[in-house]
Amino acid sequence: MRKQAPPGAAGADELEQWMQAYGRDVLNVAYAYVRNHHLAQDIAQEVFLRAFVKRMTLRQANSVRTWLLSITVNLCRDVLRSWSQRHLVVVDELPVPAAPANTEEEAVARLERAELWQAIQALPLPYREVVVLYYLRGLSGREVAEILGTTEDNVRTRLHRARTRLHAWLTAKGERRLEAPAESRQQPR
Amino acid sequence: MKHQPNQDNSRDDEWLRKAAADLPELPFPGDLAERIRGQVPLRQQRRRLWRQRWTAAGVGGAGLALAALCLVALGFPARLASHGMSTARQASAAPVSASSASASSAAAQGVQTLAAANAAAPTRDSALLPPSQRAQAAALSAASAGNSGSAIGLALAPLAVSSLHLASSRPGGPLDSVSARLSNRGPTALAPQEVVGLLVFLSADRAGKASVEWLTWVNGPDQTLAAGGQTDWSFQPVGAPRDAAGNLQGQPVLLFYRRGVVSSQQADTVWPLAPVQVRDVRVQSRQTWASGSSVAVTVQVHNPSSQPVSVTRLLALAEWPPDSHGAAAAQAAAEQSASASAFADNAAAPAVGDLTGWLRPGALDLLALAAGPGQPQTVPAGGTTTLTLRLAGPPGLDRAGVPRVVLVLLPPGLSAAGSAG
Repeated sequence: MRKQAPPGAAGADELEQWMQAYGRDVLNVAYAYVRNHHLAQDIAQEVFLRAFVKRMTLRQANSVRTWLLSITVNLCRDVLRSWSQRHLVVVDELPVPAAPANTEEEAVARLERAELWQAIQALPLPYREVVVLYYLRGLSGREVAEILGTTEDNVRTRLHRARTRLHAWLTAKGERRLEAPAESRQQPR
Repeated sequence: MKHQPNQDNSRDDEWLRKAAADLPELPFPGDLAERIRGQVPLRQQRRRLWRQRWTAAGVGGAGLALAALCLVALGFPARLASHGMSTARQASAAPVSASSASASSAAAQGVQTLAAANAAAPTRDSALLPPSQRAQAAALSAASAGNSGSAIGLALAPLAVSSLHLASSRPGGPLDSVSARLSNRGPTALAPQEVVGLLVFLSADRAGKASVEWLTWVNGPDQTLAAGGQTDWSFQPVGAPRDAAGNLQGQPVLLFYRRGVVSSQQADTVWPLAPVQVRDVRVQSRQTWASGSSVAVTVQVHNPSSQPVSVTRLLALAEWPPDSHGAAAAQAAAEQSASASAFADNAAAPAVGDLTGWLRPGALDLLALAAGPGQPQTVPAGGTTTLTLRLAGPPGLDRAGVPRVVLVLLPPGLSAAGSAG
């Protein structure tokens, strides 16, 4: 049986480092799933507390980041499955406040106004989660697969389908076409 | 054209990378990090309790017979018993420790019994105290002393607090207890049952706004303090926020009140009733250990007004009747269901006289912030919400029946930081 690390400064230091290095990753991924700022913060809190308590298991993990994001994704999926979440009003159904109260709310408001974000949120969850991890958080296909507990091939397939849907969504929207920059269009691959 | 979809996909990939990089990102706020730091000690404690329970379940569960046979065969019964006792001591190490060996068992369990010995209107003992203590008592008031509305009023006892500081309960250990020097400034001796203390941990954000991190009732001196006498006092809070090293966090504030409730006019601290109705009080057992137990008290809170009520401003007082938490009553109640219900009503706006029954002799009173992880932020106007109060008390608290619960308001500028005690 694995021994629990004694509480102390070393554990606290680790926690501080994780929050500083990966706090944004965890919070933004959580928000992408639940689209509720307060709920995302609660999830992020739970992620770091679980990671802190189980930090001995981390020593065998490859990457702190993927480990933390695995916890995040699992927690978010649990939340989305829960009854209460299915009955919550998502943020884009709420009136946008005229003057956001703080920088976090301001960031949420700006994000919610972004067309690409809206398009991503319109994707089914299996596509949305790969897009968020791969494009928004900049993880590799292998890391995304590790976090989601699937294969790289599956991630590639989901990404392909997600791109197709995003293309269609944004084209249909007509407000901005999903296009590559001019120079890359002139150089077919 | 055969490869057009792939080409499109590659272009989309490139565009997505660039566009995603331009998307706004949510910052990881400092107060969230602070919240997480504050929860670490609680999580460690929960983890330890879980491990103890798991160990016990492993021995007492399906493998009990086999384990017992093996242990008897190996001649280990004595060692097993010894382990059980040390585990029990470890689990009970957290609750209150009074500075004297004569501390009551209630104190040893982190629970204070409030005896209202002052049925007669008290004199204003606060006049005998330093201005700082009077100011603290006033700062904890959510209403002026002249408020005539329904409220719980507390009058300061003439116990001056000095040298208030955090201390270690063992050499080299974390700062896990609160110590102070108490002086009786009154003209007569003060018996332990005449006073009750309120220990509050405050924190402040960068802007200097104070929040209540945690609070609890505490016992006064463990022996009668003669007029002009002094004594050392210490208390080891259970459940108060701690850092990862086990040090208590926050600024402690300690005040001693005369036991019992007084009118607002006579009070130094006034807690008005919250404008809500409390219904359907239910109790569920959470944890038990050698010297205590904890329960989750769930209440339905209805807000009949047209304004939402912030949960962070709510302070819950739970009281078990004098005969409910004794051993006999607990034993009798043990036969009943672990979950029961009752009714209490905040919004009926009872007169102050109706509240004088609170903090009565022999009753078991506990205190908790309503806000905390998993709790709603507000009670919506016209709506009903469920609040869960986590309370620790003496052994058998989980079988002591249903308490009455009242919700009062913290001062407008002083809301709960998020953890309950």
